[in-house]
Amino acid sequence: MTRYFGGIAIGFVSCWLLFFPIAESVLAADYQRARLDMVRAQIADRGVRHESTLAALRKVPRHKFVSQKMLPYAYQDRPLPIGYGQTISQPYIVAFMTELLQPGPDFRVLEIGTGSGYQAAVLAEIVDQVYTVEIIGKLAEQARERLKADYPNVTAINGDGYYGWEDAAPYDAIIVTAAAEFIPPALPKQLKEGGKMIIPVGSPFGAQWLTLISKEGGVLTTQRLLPVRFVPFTRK
Amino acid sequence: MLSIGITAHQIALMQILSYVQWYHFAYMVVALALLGFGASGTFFALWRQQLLANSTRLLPILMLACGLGLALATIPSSPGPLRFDLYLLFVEPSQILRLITACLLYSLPFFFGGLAIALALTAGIKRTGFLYFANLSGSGAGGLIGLGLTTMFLPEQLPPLIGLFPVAAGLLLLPWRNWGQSLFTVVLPLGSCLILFFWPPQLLPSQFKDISRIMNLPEAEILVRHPNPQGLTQVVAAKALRQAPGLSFQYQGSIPNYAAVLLNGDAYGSLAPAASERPALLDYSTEVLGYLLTKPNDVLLLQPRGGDPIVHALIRGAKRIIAVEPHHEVNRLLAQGVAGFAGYASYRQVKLLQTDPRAFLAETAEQYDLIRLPMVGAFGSNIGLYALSEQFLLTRQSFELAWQRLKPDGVMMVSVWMDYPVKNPLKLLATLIETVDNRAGLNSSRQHIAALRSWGMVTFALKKTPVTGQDTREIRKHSAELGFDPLLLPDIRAAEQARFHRLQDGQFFRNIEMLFTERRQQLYQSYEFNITPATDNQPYFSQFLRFSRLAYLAELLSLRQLPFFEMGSFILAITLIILVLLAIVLIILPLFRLGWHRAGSSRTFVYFGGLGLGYMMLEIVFIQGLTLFLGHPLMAAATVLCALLFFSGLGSLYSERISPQPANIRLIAGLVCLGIVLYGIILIRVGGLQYFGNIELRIFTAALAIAPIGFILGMPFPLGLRRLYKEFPEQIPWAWGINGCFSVIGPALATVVAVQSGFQMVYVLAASAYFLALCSVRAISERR
Repeated sequence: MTRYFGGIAIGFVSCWLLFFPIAESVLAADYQRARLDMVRAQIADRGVRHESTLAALRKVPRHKFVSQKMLPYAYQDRPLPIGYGQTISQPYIVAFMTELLQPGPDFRVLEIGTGSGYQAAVLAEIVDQVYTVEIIGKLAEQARERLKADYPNVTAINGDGYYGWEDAAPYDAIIVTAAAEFIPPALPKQLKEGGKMIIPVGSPFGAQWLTLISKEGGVLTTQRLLPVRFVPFTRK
Repeated sequence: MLSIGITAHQIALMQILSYVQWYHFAYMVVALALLGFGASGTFFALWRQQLLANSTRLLPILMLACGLGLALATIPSSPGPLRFDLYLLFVEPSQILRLITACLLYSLPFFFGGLAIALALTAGIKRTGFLYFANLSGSGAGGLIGLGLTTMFLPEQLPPLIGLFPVAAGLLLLPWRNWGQSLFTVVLPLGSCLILFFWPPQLLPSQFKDISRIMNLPEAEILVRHPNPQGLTQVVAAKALRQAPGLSFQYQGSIPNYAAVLLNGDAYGSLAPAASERPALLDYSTEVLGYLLTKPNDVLLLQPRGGDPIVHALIRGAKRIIAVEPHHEVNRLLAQGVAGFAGYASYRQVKLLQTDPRAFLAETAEQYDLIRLPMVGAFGSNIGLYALSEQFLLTRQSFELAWQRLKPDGVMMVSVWMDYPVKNPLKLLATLIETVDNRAGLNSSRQHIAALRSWGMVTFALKKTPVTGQDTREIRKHSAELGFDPLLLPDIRAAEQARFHRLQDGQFFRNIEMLFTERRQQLYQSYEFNITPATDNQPYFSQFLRFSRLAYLAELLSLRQLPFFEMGSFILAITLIILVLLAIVLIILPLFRLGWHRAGSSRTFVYFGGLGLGYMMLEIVFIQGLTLFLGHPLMAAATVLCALLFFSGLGSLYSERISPQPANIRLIAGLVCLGIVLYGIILIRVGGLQYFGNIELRIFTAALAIAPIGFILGMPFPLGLRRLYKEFPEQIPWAWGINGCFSVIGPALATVVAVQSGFQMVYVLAASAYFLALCSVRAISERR
C-alpha cells in the first residue's frame, strides 16, 4: 500500500519538477532597479527612442498597477491578467504605442479602455490632459483610486467608449486599448485634423500588431505596424 | 446502472469542458475515464484477495463512491482553489498543477466504478458472461442517455443527476443488515447528488471567454439559457453590445444594440433589431463585394449566425433567401427572435433551415446567385484555440460542392479577419484557388477571384464566370467611396492594393501572387505555418502549426510567445504528456510490486499495448470522422461510444465460444487489421456524401456501420487474456495495466496524428498497432 502511494508521490514530484518553473520573484526594494532594467532591456534595446516615453516608463511604478498575486511578475516582459478578462499590456507595447503617438506636453489624449490605468499614467507623465474611459465599473473605480493622487491630469470616466468623450474633444491622439471589430464612428470625429489614433490588435498574451489611423484632410488611412521584433515572413 | 452512469458522465464532462474552457476535449475525457479504469485494474491486481474477501460489503460502497465522485465533478469548473483555466496555462505556472489535480479528480469516479466492475466480474465468476454483457450494454446505453440528458438539463446539473445511476446501483446492493449503518453510508452520496442537482454550483467559465466578458458589461442580462446537445445556448443583452464587423470609416450613422448569441460561452452570432430599424451595416463592410458582382435573386446563407447577412440580402433586393443554420436553438431564435430582437420567419423571402450547412450543400439540387460562407477566423486572432476542431465547411471538397451549387454566373463569398503572422487569409485564398483550378481549369483562378480589404478584414468573392471589366469598375468605385482597398482583381495594380490601408511590408501581397502561380506548392512547403487547404481527410482549417518549423518559430517569436500562436496544439501536447505520466505513475509503476516476469513479457507488452493503442485510436478517429456525417462532435462521441462499446461487448461475449489458439487469435487480429483498413478507405470516401434522412436515422446508420468492426474488436482482448492465462498467468495484471496505459495514451495520440497527418494516418497507425499484436501472437505460436 505504502509503495503504491509512494508512486503517486513520486509522480507528483516529477510533475512539479517538469512543469513548475520557479517564479522569478522581485523584492519590494528592487522595484526601482527592476523598472530601470525593464526600460533598458525590454524597451530601449528594442528600438524605442522617444526620450519622454522612456522617462515616463522609468518613473511610473508598474507594480502598483497589478494585483498582489502578480507582483513578482510586474516588471517582466509580458502582459499580466488584471481580472475581468482584461490585461495590463506588456511594457514594450505600452512604450511602442506611446512613442508612435509622438506625444507632446500640450497634447490632449483620449484613451478607450482604462484597464489598470498604467497606460494613462505613462501618458500623464508626458502630456497635458488624459481622458480615459472604462466600461467595467469596478476596473474604472480601481483605476481612479490608483491615479487620483499622483496624476491629477487624468480624468477617469466610467462609461461606454463607443461614444468617446465628447466634452473634451477634439483630441490630438486617441488610444483604443480595448480593440473592437469596428471603430466607433464617434472616435474619428473627435480626433483633431492631423491627429493619430492607435489600436492594438491580437492576443493579449501573445503577439499584437498595432494599427495606426491618421486623419489628413478629413480622410482616414491606416497603417499596420508590428510592435514585436518579427522578421517578416519572406519567401525566396 | 453503474456502466450507464460512467459512460453518460463522459458526455456530461465534454459538455462542461466545452462551456468553461473552449473545446470539448473528447480525447482527454475518454483518456481520463481509461486512466481511472486502468488504475482500478492495477489496484485490483495488487489487493485482489483483500478485495474479494470483502466483496459483498465493498461493492455497494464503491458504487456509492463512484456516484459521489461523479456528482462532485463540477468542482474543478466552479469557483474555488481547484478551478483551472487553460487560457492561463502559459501565464500562471500554477495552472499546470491545477490541471493535473483536475485530471485526478475527474478520473476518481472512473477509478471507483472500474474497481466495482472488476470486483463484480471476479466475485460473480459464474455469471461473468452475463455481467460483462450487462456492463458493456450499460456503457452503450449510457452514451445515448447522456446525450438525451443534455437536451433537458443544464451542464452543471448533469454530473449529480448522472451520479444517481451508480448510487441507485449501490442502494440495490447494500446488504441493509444494519439499517443505521446502511443509511449512514447512503446519506452522503445520495444527499450530495440531490442537493447538487437541485442547487447546482455555478460553473465559472474562464474570464477570457466571451460570456464572462459580456457579463462584465453594465446591465448585461441573460435572456435565454437553453441546454442542447450542440452546446449550451445563451442570449445576452447589454446596452453596450453593438456589432458591425469591418465597418467602413465612412459610415456616419448610429449602430443599434444587438443581443449576443453564445454557444458554450463563445460568441456565435447575434440577434439584431428588426430589419426596418437595422441599417445594412454589411453594405458598409467589405461584404458588399458579393453584391457588386451579382444582383442576386436567390441567396444561400450558410451558417449566418445572426440577422445581419439576412438584413443585407433583404436590403439588396433578394427574392429568395435560404439561411442554413446548423444549431437548432440558434435557428429557432433567428426565426422567432427574442425580447425585442427580430426574428425573420415572418419575411416571405426568408426560409430558415436547421441542418448542417455541409449536408445541405451535398443534398440540395438547387442553384443560387450568391452563396455566403460564415466569416473565418476571429477578430484579434483566436490564438490557435480551434486548431483541434473539425471544420468540414472549410475544406476543399466543401468549396467544390458550393461551386456546383452556383448558377452559371453565381458568386461565392467568404470573409476573413486579418491576422499576423498572416495565416487565415492565405489558407482561405489557397482553398479558393484550388477550387477554381479543379472546377474551371488550371490557371484560370485569377480571372474568377476578387477581393476587398479593410483595416482588419478581407472579403474574397469567387465568380463562376470570369470577373468582367464592368465588375472591376464597380468594385473600384465602391472601394474609393468606402475607403477599402481592392486586393484582387483580374487587372489589379500594386499601387491600388494599399491606398487606404498600408501593411508593414509587401510580403502579404507577394505571397498572394505566389499562390496564383505554379510555385504555390513551394509556398505551402516553405511557409512557416501550414497554409495548405484543409480537406475532408484533415478538416482542421485552423491548424497552422508545423512541428518541423517549431525551432525556427521559437527563435523568431521567442519561446515564451510561441504557445500563444498555436495554443490548441500546445495544450494537446501538454495534456498528452500529463496523461502519459499519470498512466505510468498510477497504472504501471504500482505493478512492480508484483514483480516483473521476463518470460514472455515483451510479447505481452506488444500484444496488449497494441490492442489498447489501436482500439482507442480507432474510437477517436471514428468520433472525428463521423462528426461530418452526424453534424456535431457530441453526437458523434455519443454514437461511437454507445455502438462501439455495445458491439465490442457482444464480440467479447461471443469470443468465449472461440478457443484461444494462436491461429484463432491471429485470424481475428488479422480480420481487425483488414477491417480497419477497409473502414479507413470507405468512411473517408463516403463520409461527406451520405446525407440522408433525419438525425435519428443517421445515428442508427452510423451505429450499424460500426457494428461489424465493433464486434470483432471485442474479441482479441479476452482471447489474449485466456491465452496468457494458459502460458504466463503471472502476467495477467501486467496485461491489464499495459493495455490500460496505452488506452490512456491512444486518444490524445490519435488527435495529434489526425491534426498533423489526417484521419487516414490514424487508421494506418491503428491497423499497425493491431498488426504488431498479431505478430506477437505468431511469435508465441512459433516458439511453441
